[in-house]
Amino acid sequence: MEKENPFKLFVPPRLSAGQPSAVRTQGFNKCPGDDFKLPFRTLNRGEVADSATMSQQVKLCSEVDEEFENEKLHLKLEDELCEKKDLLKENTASRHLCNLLKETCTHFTEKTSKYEQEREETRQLYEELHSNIERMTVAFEELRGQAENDRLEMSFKLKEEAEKMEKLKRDCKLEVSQKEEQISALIIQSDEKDDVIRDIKAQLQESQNKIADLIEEKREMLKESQVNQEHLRAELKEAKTSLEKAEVTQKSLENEFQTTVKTLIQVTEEKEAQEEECKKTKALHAALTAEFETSIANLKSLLQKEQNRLEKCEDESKLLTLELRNKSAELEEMTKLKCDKEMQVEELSGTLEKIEGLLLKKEHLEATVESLQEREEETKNVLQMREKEIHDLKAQLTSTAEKEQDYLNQLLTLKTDLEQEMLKNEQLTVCINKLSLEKEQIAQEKSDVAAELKKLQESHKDSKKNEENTKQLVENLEEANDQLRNELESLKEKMAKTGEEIESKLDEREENMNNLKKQVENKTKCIEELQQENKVLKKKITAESKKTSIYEGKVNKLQLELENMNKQHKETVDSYQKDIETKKVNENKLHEEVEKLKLLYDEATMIQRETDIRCQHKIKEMVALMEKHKHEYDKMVEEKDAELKLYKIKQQEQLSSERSLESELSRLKSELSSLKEQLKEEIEEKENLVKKHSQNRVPETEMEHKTYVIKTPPVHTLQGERSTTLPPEQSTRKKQKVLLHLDTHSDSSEHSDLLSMVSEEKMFKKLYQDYPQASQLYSTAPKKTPTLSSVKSPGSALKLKAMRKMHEAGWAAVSKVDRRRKIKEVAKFFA
Amino acid sequence: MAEAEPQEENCENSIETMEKCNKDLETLLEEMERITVRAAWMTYGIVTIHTNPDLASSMKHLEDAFLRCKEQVGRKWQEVLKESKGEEE
Repeated sequence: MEKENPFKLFVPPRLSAGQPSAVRTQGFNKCPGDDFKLPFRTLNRGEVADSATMSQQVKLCSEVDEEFENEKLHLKLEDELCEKKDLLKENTASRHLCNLLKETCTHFTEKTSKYEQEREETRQLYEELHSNIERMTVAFEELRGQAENDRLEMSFKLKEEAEKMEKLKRDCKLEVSQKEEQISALIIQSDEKDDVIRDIKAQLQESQNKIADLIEEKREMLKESQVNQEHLRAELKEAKTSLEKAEVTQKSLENEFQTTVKTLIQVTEEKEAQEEECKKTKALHAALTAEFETSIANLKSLLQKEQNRLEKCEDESKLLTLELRNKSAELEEMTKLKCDKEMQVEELSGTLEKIEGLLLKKEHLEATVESLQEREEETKNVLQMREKEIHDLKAQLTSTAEKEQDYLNQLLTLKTDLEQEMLKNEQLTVCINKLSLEKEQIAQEKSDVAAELKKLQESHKDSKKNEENTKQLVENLEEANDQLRNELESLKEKMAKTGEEIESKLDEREENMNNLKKQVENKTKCIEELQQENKVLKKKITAESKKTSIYEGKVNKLQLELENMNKQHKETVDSYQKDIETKKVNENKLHEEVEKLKLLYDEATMIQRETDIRCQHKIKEMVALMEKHKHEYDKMVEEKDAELKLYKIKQQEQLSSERSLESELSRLKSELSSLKEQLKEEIEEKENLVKKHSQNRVPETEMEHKTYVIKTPPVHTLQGERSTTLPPEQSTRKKQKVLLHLDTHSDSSEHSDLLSMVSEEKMFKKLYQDYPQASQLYSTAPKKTPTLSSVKSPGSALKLKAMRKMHEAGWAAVSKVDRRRKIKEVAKFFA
Repeated sequence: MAEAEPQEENCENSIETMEKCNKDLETLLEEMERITVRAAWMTYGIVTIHTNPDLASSMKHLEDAFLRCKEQVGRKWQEVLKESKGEEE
């Protein structure tokens, strides 16, 4: 039993968290049981003896050991059995626990499921709550908003109503104030009307005065306008007279122009006749020139032929001279003759040089002719310029004429305007008369109204005086009443005072009192009567006030009428003033225009005068130029006549030289023939001289010298003859027939005339370059060469005569042409 | 000896029972684990649900809105009355 005590089963509590470690504690409790058994068995060992005892002991020991081991094993087995039992119990307990755990688990799962359900439900509830809460919040907010809106609306409505109330109050106040103001204004207006009545009366007087002044001013203005009209009329008359004068001057100028034109036309006609005559002469000269040209051509051909012949002869002579030169070693005499010939050739060359000098002189003369021509061109240009100036002046004259016409037109328009304005003035005067009559009527009405007003004023004054008198009477009566009252009081006092003192006098005093009473009654009656009179007077005053009101109404009407009339007057006055101003402006414009026209007219007259003066000056200048040109032309003509003379002289000299040359040519030809014969003879002689040189030289020289004897007629005689012939013929310029008496018989050669003739030709060429008319007359024949052919002396003289006629006719034609041109220019200038 | 055999059989039965017990214990442990997990989740869920501030905030909003409405409504009429009194004055 004691062995079982230490065995304690540790049973853990069921619901608590199992601690499996508590099972292990049972093993420790088993240990003390072993200790009791061991010491019991150990005691038994001591009692056995030694030997047998030893074997026995050993046996016993082994038996003991075995028993011990058996016991140990028993113990172990018991222990293990116990342990197993314990374990089984534990298992059962654990199983119980496990079952409990299972149950708990199942319970727990159930609870968890419940919990989850409840959780879900709670979530749903929460969500519902949330939604409900949100709805509630939204609803509350809506309510709040609605409340605010309602509040605001209410406030606005209240404010509006308050504002309306205030407006109404203000309006009422304003109306009240306006009414009060109106009342005050009406009071003021009533006072102002009284003042206005007074002012209107004063204005009436002033307006009357002004109307009188305006009427006077209008009369004065009318007078002034009439005076201005008269002045303008006078100015118009003056302008007309000036215009007439200008027209007269224009007519005179035109007549003068026409006369000048006629004269110019006549001059042109004369000059045209002269031109025709010149043309005829030109035709004649042309024919003559044609004839001369044919002769000249013939002469030229002859000259050319002779020149050719001369050339041929020269060639032959050269050949012969060459032959002679080849043979000259022995022919010294021939060389001397050749020297002589060379000398002659030199002389001829000298003559050629002189001719060349004359040609140069001709060139110089031609240059001078060119210069003269240039001068003539310049003079022509001057004439053209002057013609242009004349054209310009004519244009200016035309423009001035046009301007004058324009001015006439303007004057006509101005006349019409003036007439129109005159009509307007007349109409305005009529209107002014009408208005003056109306004004007089209005003045009369005003005077009547003024008289009525005065009467009203007097009546008003009388009424006022009556009022004042009545007022004074009333005041006096009142004062009398007061005085009487005072007296009554004094009397009463006296009566009261003296009543007690004097009783005896009561009767008298009663009588006195009665008398006084009667007096008082009378006075009261009088007072009543006066009061009645006062009432009557007041009634009268009211009536009169009514009358005054009526009169005031009338006065107002009259004032209105006056105002209207004044306005009308002002309007009419303004209109008249405007008309007057417009008239003044028009008058000023007309004055200005008249002044402008005057200035323009003056300018036009000045321009006319200037143009006249210019025309006259230019005419004078032209005349002077014409005279100068005439003088110049005369001079030129004289010069050219002199030149012609010179040229004629030179031509004569050249002709003489030509003749001389021709003669020389003939002589040379004869000489050549002679030379040829001589050459032949000499050739024959040479043949003989080849044999005999020195014997033939001497006679040849003598022969040659003889053959070349030149006989020259006296040149002076020719020149004198020429000079004698020319001067009496210079007096007649036109169609001069110069007869040159020359000694045709002089066959002698003339030295010095070849070159002069040549130079004359050149000068003639130069002089007649610019005049194609004269070119026909120009004789190309006298192209003289030192070698001239044989000239037929009588025909040549006639031809020379014709040539000179042509020269002078050409000069005359030239002068005519120049004069014609200048006259045409003058005609254009004057036309 | 006869005791030994049933003892041996008991031993074998005990072993088997022990093994069964172990297995049962394991299953139980697993279930216990599951249960603990569920419990943890439950606690978590409860905590979340209980600690959810939305409710409180919504309730606060509700309270605020309610109070505002109350104020507004009360103010409206008070102001109207005041204005009316002021206008009358």
